[in-house]
Amino acid sequence: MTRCLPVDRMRNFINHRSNSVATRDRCILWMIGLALIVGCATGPKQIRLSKTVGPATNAAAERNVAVETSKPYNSSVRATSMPTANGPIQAVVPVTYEERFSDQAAVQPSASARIGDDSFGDTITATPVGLRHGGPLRQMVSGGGHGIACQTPGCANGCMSCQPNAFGDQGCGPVGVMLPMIPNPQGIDGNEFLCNGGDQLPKARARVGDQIIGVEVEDTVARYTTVRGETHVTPSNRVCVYAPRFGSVRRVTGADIGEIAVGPQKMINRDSPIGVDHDEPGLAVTGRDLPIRNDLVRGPDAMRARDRGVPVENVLQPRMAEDVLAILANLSIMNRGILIKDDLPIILIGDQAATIWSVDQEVVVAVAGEVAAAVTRDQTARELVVYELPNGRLRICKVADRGDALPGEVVTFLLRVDNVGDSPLSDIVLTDSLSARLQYVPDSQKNSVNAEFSTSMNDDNSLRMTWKFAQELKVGEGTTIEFKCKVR
Amino acid sequence: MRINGNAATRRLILWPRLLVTLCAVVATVDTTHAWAQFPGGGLPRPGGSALSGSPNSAAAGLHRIHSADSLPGEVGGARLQRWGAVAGYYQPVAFRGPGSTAFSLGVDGVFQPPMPSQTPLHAGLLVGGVYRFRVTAIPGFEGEEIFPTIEVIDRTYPPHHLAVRHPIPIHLELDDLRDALSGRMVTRVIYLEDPTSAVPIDTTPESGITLDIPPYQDPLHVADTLGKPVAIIRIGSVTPPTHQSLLPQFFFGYPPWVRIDSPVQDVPFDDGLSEQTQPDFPAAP
Repeated sequence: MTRCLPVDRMRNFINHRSNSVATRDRCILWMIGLALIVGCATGPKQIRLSKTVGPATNAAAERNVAVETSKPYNSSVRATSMPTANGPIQAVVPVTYEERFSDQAAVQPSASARIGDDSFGDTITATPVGLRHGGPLRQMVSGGGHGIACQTPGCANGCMSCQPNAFGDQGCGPVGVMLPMIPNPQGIDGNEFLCNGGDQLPKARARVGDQIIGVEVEDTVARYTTVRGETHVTPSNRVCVYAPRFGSVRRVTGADIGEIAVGPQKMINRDSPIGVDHDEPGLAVTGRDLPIRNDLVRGPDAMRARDRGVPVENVLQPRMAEDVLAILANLSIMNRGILIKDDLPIILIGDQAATIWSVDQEVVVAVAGEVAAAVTRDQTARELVVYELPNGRLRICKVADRGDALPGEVVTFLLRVDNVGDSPLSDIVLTDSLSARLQYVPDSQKNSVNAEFSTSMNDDNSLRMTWKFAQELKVGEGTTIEFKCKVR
Repeated sequence: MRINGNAATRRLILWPRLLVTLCAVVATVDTTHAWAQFPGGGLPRPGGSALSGSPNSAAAGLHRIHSADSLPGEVGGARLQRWGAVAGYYQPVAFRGPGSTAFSLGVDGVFQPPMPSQTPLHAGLLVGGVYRFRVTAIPGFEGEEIFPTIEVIDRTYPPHHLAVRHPIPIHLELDDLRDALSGRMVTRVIYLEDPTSAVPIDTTPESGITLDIPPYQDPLHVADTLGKPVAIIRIGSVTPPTHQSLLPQFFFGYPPWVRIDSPVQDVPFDDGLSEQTQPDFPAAP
């Protein structure tokens, strides 16, 4: 009998295939149940409503109204909380996890050691699994990216591997499925993690043609065009791998003790100090200077100066505000075409006003000396039509095949691109800018569509990979892109 | 508060208040700089460090309290006074040297038998402790010994299962040993690299990144600009004390450590929910 294990369900969900109909149905039920529990289906739900008023109304009464529910279907299972430096971390779906340290390494205290603490304990029981945080800093980094569902707006598209948005703009955290890597309860140092994916500031934006600007190092974004001709840019989730790298700074000086002082005795120019000074420059080490580092390290000033002013491009807000009444200028329905609950009272007042102006006046008729009054009110006849406007949406999920890596090891990344909208998408260009510590393994990329693959150097002397899809992505259609990177 | 009186009286009252305000501002700025001088940092976060690559600490003209020339134990001891769960934590380190170089740590004044040349010495060292270790079987200098010290001044925060797999590498190059044997003092400061300013150089666990600086620069300060300093290695001692009473000073009080015999090479994935330990990537539809 084919079972439906969680990992299998994840895989089946990704592959859109199952071994049998029964298994597939059961998996779908499992997924729906899991999604309802952990709130996987969160995110703004947009329902377009068209309210048509009767024929006697004027044109102002016929309008399209978009309703946006701001509150997501929130998760309902919450458990213990962990105090952190940057805010509470709440554990979701607690699963007991035992770490058998003794299976990995035999730790023997030295003869003089007084080992009484739990630094190298044999068995550690930890319950915080599937953490979510709301802090702004890199607080929690999940490892591996093995089938992690998430629910926060940053991953509202339903990423299978939602990394914790370690740098925090979206507060995304993995929810639902067991994390293979348990974060250190004593803290997290973001410098020990190698992250890739997402969209760091400045945000990526599409320009004329296939150009995408604002793609920083570690960014993974895609540009696509909907059937209505709109061009959008969407990022992927963020994947972090524990891969600390250490360096050392070496200095050689003369010894104070040992009578072998490095002095100027053998120098040709006799005008140097006669005394021995171990701080004398240029005696022990010549020509080794710091600018080597300065050539390769980019300071933050360059980043600030590069895309200055780009985020404010194409903002049409003031121009729209000029054309509407002042009282309606701040309404979301006027600015963005989306109706929010807070604006409903104001809009209802305006709706009534529009109705009053459209009501027919009473007609008074006198017949044979008797007065008969007829009142015509036709605004009660209304028709409600609900439909969804054609709108495309692209979902990018990024996962890594391992949660940690030593320098020299290879990490495989997988990008899953899906059209989760209700119209085909075209002109899809996916780009991934690798960090300086990730080296693309040549000829390792594979994609299931006929995408044109190209590379270029980015600002960190690493590669920026670009896939240009040759075909449009139909509704519900998805593709996978896989590539390998060597950790430097 | 309303001040009555003539203009001279008001000036007499206002000037001391202005001076007090100025002193408070100066004290605040000075305190900010002083926080930034400690390893382990002035920022109240676990892995953070004001000495570790923050723009303030890298600013020119900063007067730092500590340097690599500080007495052994001083920098690490100051770190213990700072924020964070560092006290009592055994930080895994891995000693590696050229060729058949062997390392051994001391226990109660006696160096342990060195590990086989193929097996690097892995040990857990206390943050803030100063450990004397012995280097033998140096290629080209067989029969000679060096007794460097290592001072762990900060720690890492790995997830579970990964503490031993990702130790702090203590790489001693042949140049270090040669210089030490010739009577020079070699100071190495190990730092955790900032990934945002990482150098795009291929490395392996057996080979690290080494930056040579001139003698007039402080390696601790330079390492602070590149990341978070985590250890200081001082290589220069070639002769242990002969008198028994000098041994405690030579071993810096015999701080405890733990030996890690078989470091983990690979950690299998186990999510605890399925029989499949390593899920494969899904195939393209």
